[in-house]
Order: sequence, then C-alpha cells, then structure tokens
Amino acid sequence: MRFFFILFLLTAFLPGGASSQEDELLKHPRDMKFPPLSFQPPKASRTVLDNGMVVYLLENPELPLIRLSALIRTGSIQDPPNRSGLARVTAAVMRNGGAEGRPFKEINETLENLAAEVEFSMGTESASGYLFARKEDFARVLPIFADLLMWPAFDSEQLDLVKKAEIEAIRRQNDNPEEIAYREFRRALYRGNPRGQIPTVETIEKIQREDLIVFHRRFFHPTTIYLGVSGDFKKEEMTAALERTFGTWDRSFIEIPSIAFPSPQEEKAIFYAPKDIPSSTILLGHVSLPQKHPDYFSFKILNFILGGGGFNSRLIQEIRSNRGLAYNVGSFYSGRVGYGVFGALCQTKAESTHRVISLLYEIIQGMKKNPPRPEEIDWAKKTLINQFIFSFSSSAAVVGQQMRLEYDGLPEDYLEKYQERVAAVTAEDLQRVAREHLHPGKSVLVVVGKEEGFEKPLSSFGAVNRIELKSAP
Amino acid sequence: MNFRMKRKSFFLGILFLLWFVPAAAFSFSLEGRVKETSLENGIKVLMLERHESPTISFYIRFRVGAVDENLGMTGTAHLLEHMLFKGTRTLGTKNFAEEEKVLIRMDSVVASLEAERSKGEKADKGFLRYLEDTLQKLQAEQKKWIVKDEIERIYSQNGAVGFNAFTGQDSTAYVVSLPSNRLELWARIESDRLLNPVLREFYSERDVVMEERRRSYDSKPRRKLMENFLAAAFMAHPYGRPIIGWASDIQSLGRQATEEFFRTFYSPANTVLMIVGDVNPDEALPVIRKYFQRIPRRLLPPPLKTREPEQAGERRIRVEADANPHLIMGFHKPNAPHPDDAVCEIIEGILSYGRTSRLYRRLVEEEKIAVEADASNGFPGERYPNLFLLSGAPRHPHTAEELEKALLREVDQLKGEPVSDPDLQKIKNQIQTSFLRKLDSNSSLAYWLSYGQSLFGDWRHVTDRIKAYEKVTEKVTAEDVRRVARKYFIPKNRTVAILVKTSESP
Repeated sequence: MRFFFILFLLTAFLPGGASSQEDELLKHPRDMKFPPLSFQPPKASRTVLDNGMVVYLLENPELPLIRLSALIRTGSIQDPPNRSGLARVTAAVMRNGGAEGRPFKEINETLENLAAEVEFSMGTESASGYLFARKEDFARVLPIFADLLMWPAFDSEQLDLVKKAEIEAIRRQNDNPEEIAYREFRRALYRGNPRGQIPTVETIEKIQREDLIVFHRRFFHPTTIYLGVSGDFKKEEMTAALERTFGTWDRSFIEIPSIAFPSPQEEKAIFYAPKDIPSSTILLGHVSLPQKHPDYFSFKILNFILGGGGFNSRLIQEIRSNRGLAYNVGSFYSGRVGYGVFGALCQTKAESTHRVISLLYEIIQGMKKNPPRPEEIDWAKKTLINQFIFSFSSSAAVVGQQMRLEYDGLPEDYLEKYQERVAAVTAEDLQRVAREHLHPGKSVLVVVGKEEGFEKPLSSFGAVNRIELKSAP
Repeated sequence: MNFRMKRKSFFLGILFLLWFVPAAAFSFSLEGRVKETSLENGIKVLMLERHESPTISFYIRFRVGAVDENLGMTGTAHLLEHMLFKGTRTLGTKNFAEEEKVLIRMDSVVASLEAERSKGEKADKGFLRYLEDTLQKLQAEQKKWIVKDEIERIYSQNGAVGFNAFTGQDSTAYVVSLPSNRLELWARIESDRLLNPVLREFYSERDVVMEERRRSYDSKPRRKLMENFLAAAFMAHPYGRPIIGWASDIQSLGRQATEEFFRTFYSPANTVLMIVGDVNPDEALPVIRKYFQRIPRRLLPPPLKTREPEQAGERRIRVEADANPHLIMGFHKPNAPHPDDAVCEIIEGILSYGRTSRLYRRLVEEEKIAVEADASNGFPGERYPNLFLLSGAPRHPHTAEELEKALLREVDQLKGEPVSDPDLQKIKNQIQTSFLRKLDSNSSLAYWLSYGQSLFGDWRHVTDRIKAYEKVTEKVTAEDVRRVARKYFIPKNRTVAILVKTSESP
C-alpha cells in the first residue's frame, strides 16, 4: 500500500514527457553561450599631500554620499608585552574620548543628528578609520574625523569605560566555542611572537592614559596614514579640503619598529579545551606562504580545491555532502606581508569528533598523494577568474583595494595581472606546492568540546596539551 | 560599531557565512526606476537598473517560512531550502530515469525503517539491521548516478558570488550574483529548480541540518536563550518555534512531506523575482518569461488562523549554560501596518540608536552596569503580531536582575516624561538614513525590495516607510510614545528570559 502511495505522489509531482521547447529550455548550462562582457575597471587617482599623507580619490556621483577610509601603519602587534590590549584600547578611546576642543558628547550629538559615522578600529597589522556622511554634511564631519585622528583627548572617564568593557569581554571570552578555538589557535600558532599575545585582566588594568598618548604619538603621523575617498565630490575640491584639514599636521620622520614574522611549527601540537557542549569545534593549521611568495597563486588555488571553494571542494564534499558530518567545514588561506596562515575548520557532534579529525588529516594529506585533477583545476581557475569582476562592484571597494596594495607593498599592476597569474598556474605547480607547503603533520590542532563524548580519546593523535578554561569568579 | 543597522529577524541558511548588509545611504527616489511585471502565472518580477559594474544580483523570495509549518514538522521550510541545492531532473544526475528507481525504493525502505523504529523497545532488531543495510546499499547505488553539487559548480565556474539561501519565519530567499551576461544561466537553473526539483541525498542533508542545530543553537548560549525565550513568549502562535526546528522533528522529517511542503507553498502567487544591477529590462523580460512562465499556477492554502491569545501574566524563565549572564525581555505588540508598530520603531530609536541613545548613555556609559543594552522592534517576524525586545549583558559584578530593573526604569520613563522635540528629530534623521543606507548595493537593494514586495505586497514598503516615519515623527507627540508605552510595556504582557551559569543556578 505504502509503496503505491509513494509512486502516486512522485508521478503527480514530476511533469510528464518533455516537449521540444522544453528540451531547448533544459539545454545543459555547459552548452549555453553568453554574450561577451567588456569592462574597464575604474581606477582611483593617487596624490600626496604636502605633509606626506598618501591619498586615493575616486569620484562617483551616483549617490550624494561620501565615504573616507584610513589605513594606519600600526596594529596590536605593536602592543608592549606587559600592556597587551593597549593598541585596541587606544583606537576605542580615540573615538570615544573626544578631541582637543571637541568634547565627546558634542561629537556624538553632532554626528548622530547628521546620521553620519566616524569610527576607528585596531587590527593585528594595521589600524583603520572610517567616515561616512551625506555630501552636504561632509564639510562638518571631516574636521571631526581629522581632529580625532590627529589630536585625540583620551578622556580618562572614557578610558575607564573602555577598560571595563575589555575586562568584561575577557570574563566572557570562554562563553563561545568558536571564540575559544580561534584564540587558542592564534596563541599556539604564534607562540613567541607578538601576534600570539592575548590580553588579560592584568595587562588591561595596567594601561594608563599616558600609555595611550605615547602609543598615539609613536604611530599616528601623516607619513604612516593612507586615505581613500570615494563618492560624490570633485577631485580638486577634495584635495584642497584634505590639504586644509590635515595641513596643520607636520610631516615627521618616524620609524615604525619592524616586528619579526612568525616562524613555522617544527612539529605537531595538539590542544584540547574542555567545554560541556554537544558540538565540537576543530581547528587545524599552520603558518604558511606570504602574499609576495612566487607560489602564492598556486597555494591559493590549492586551498580552493581543498576546502576554500565551497561545496565542490574536497573537505566540504566529503565531510558535509557525502557523510553529513558537519554543517560548517572548510579551509582558509590568508597570504599576508612576510607570512601567511593556512587552516581547516570543522564543527561536528561530540560522537564524530575523532572521525572528523582523522578525515581532516587524511584529506589534507591526500592533496599530496592525489594532486588536483584537471577538472578540479579547471573549475578553480574559472571560478577565480570569472569572479574577479566583483572586486570592482563599488567605488569604496576599488579605493580600498588600491590603498591596501600600497600598504602591503604589492606591485601596482597586481590587479591587472591577477587573472593572468591565476591562469598561469599548472598542475605541476599545484603538485609541487602541495608537497612543499602543506604540513598536516606539523600543524597545530585545537579542539573545543566534551571529550567524554568523543568516540576515541584525542591522545590517539599524539600528546595532548589540556587548556583549562578558567571561569572568572 | 554600528548601532543603526538592525535586522528584523535572524535567518538560517545553506552556507555558514557572516552575512551583513553594508552601510551607506542616499536620498533619492526609486519611484519610476523599478520595473514591475506580473507573469501570467502570478509570479511578480521586479527589475532595477544600476550600471556601476557589469554584475547583477538575483533574489527569488517566497512568502513562506518556518511560521507556515505544522506542529511536528518544524524545520521543514529550512530543510527544504537546503534540499533545493541538490539539483533537478537534469542537473545533478547522470541519468535521472535510473536514479529515480533507486529513489523510490529508498523512500519505501525509509518508511518501513521509521515504522519499525517507532516501536521503540519492541522493534525487531534483525529487521532493523536488514533495513539499515538495504538503505546503505541503495545510497551507494544512487551515488553512481549523482553528479555532486552540480548547480554550485556551474554557478561558480561562471563567476557567481554569494550563491546562498536564507530561511526566516516569514519568507525564504534564494540568492546569487553573476556577471551580467549570465542572466539566462540564472533563468535556466532557477526555473528548473522550481519545476523539476529532485530532493536527492535527503537523509545525509538532514544530518547536516542536525549538525547546524548543534553548532548554532545547542552550543551557543545566546541562541539557546533566544530559542527558550521565544517558546515562552508564544504559547499558541508558531513564532514561538525555532526556524531550524526542534531536534526530534528534524530527525523524523521525510522526503515526501518535504516535497508536499514545496508543492503547497512554492506557488507562483508566493514568488517574487528581484533583479538588481546591470540589466536591460526590455531584453531580460522575454528571457524571464520564456523560463518562468512554464511554472503552473497553484492555489495557496488558507492563511494561518492561530492568533496568540492575550498574555495573562508575566512569564519568566531561566536557561542554564556554561556562560556569563544575559537577559532578553519581550512585550507583545501589533505588526506593521498597524500605526503602533511605527511608534515602537521610534521607541527603538530613542532607546538604542547610537552613543547618544538612552540605553547606551545611561546603562553603559553612566551607571556602567551593562556592556551591552539593546532594543529591537518587530521580532521574530513581521507577518503576524510580534514582540518588542529589550536585551543586554550585565557587567560583573552587576547581575541580570539589576539590568532588568534598569531596563524597566527606562521603559517606565517613556510612560511619564515626554520625549523632547530635538530627540524626535534626531531619531527621524537616523531612521531615514538607516533605511536609505540599506539601498546602496545590488544585493542589499534586492534584499529589501523583495522583502517589502513579499511581506507587504509592495516593494515601496522600505522607501515608503521613510515617508511614513516622517509623517509619524512629525505627528508623534510625547503623548503617542506615552500611550504606546503604557499600553504594551506592562508586566502582564512581559516575558523575561535570563541566562545563568550552570554552577550558579539554585
């Protein structure tokens, strides 16, 4: 009975024989032809202000808006060892603490009445600033942005508030498994390097107003800042406005201390953080190639095929699609200045944790034994080449890219050559890069979850370093 | 930090992405720029030209979501969304005629398997093993015919970005952005997904969704709190159920029933096609007609009749987790276009927009009892009466209970002291800009215009709201805010959920 019922539903659901028009409409996409696409990507123009500040400008009158972004050569890698967190606190109080002659309350009222935005934030290897305003408000908002950037007041009440917020965030840092996994991964991957420093309640408590003033004085100068402006303006007028606004800031010759790059792991290291949750978070990876490395594009494609390229990449195909062992699985590669980072991530139920870790090791190792097949390479290259057009989908993105290229010291023709360089990667390159630059056996492995529920103990992969997640009193 | 951009509800999707709407604003009219067409079968087509780059964002939004599920079937809308990535009779298969034979046999084995399993202790272990083995063999056999994830492969090779889908309480959207010369590719694939979907690999995908539930709800304390909070706040209306579904429901969802859900709700009358970017409507429309008007009209089921009864008294729950305290408080209220919804939107602004908002200034900056304090109107959906939320995280050693008192004090103040004119003007500016800044990228425009069209029958909903709010704010006196606060923000209408550390629960 049941069987017939099911059959009935299926036939009712699926339409009958296809007509000839239907055949035409069901032509396989691989046989479809598309008209050619011609596009001249817009380019921002570069100027240097009298005091040495580099500025990129791109006019776009579509909307009556102006966006400005700044990239500043500093970052939390510049935290003094006993003041971990100082860089972040500095950026937050720059915004929240007002500027000389501009109390923070007044700034907030002005910006919010105009529905404009000014923000500063600190990254690991750079700081950034952001301004957003309607065209007609720009002349009022730019001086606020500039004063906060050049002459922050570092109000002590606001410093106290930011420190309290940082301390509360540290109290809460073990609430979410992903946050724990990424933090411990960073700590292990960059041990002995400033990038692996994690702020603590003690280092935050030590931070004084004087530290912020010194940090700001050391790193914020016209020659360490790149500005990018896009939107509805005229270049000459914008250049003049920027000269007027930042002109009072004298050129200064300062040297930004160079920070050593992280060194690759010598051997496998396993970390386990116990947490009473049904889903385990697994992170596995190692220090990798910098963006300027000749094998950068090969490694990028390799990672795409391994786990960075969506459903058709090997990790997702095997662990998610074939076996239903995870919703969130994949790999990532980020090539930075002087070093890179490669890793694979998966979240799975406690009962399949061991199996998934084995699969991660196997599939990464498999890239060496079974190097990418022609159809995988074809798919990866076509995707990267055809997606490239989306890099230019907004003026702000175009400006941001050009600034970033100069900040990272990449060649000016990087974007022009991008598609060419992707296309030039060969099967032999990929095979060699997999052999030379993938190191599952020398990876850091971090697991957050409840080991009592795992099928087999983690120690079957090697010696386990247990991380006690102390919960604050 | 961005205080203004808020999403009305959270979505679950096929891919794990940090998805957000980029910030920006503009003040010009879309009137006359959006080309509207209805196909003969009832599908609504909206096109908006933007030629900044040769790319197009596509949104197909269906007016169906978790709220349309029956009890015992929670999670169907979301699982179906996952299943529609598995292909059609021509995509994802080497030979559908052969594959179909296996599919049919698999369904009957699964039916027997579930019938036997439901006997619990009395189940015949040998028979179960036999059925499980058979199922595994059939799955292996089916693999021979499957071309894995072919739709995604075709799209990505053609340069697609953001190929994804989202299921909410109210609607489900299928999205992709493509180079603009690939419009026909989109029409070919998407119309096929609607005409000839094949829910292959159903059971392994159901496992994937269980994994999604474990990571997104069961292992994340705040999501767990929210799930429990909603279940407490709604006792009759399906807004109280999680979009992803209850674990026991997900585990027993069947392929047939999921197909049935598709047939019932993915009707042309429920469908909006939204196309934003480098498109020429005159050239695109014939292509769209050719592919999409093949989809037959279907009758929609009668609308949901369940209404949440008036709350009879305060509800209060505690949720234990290995995490620091958090608080959610909600009050029932009407949904748009009821005028009180607009007043609640203003109240949300007064309480929580930016560093000058009352909650930030008083609770975070002055009293320092909270690290976060937020207000949000219109949760968890907008098709039915919904909630006004207050939430926050106390700063140690302050407690969730202290935070609750402080939040209630702010709410009570709205009932008494009138809101000043400059404050109202500021909120007006912010609401205007926040709506406008939703409209500055192809994908964000496609999101919001299809949202308005699908939920309120008019894409102008988003832009019109700006005008509506101008009117409202001009008219809103302290009295309006007071009336609404007094009417809805009362103890009897309140649900409170507090996250407590496992070890600290009494």
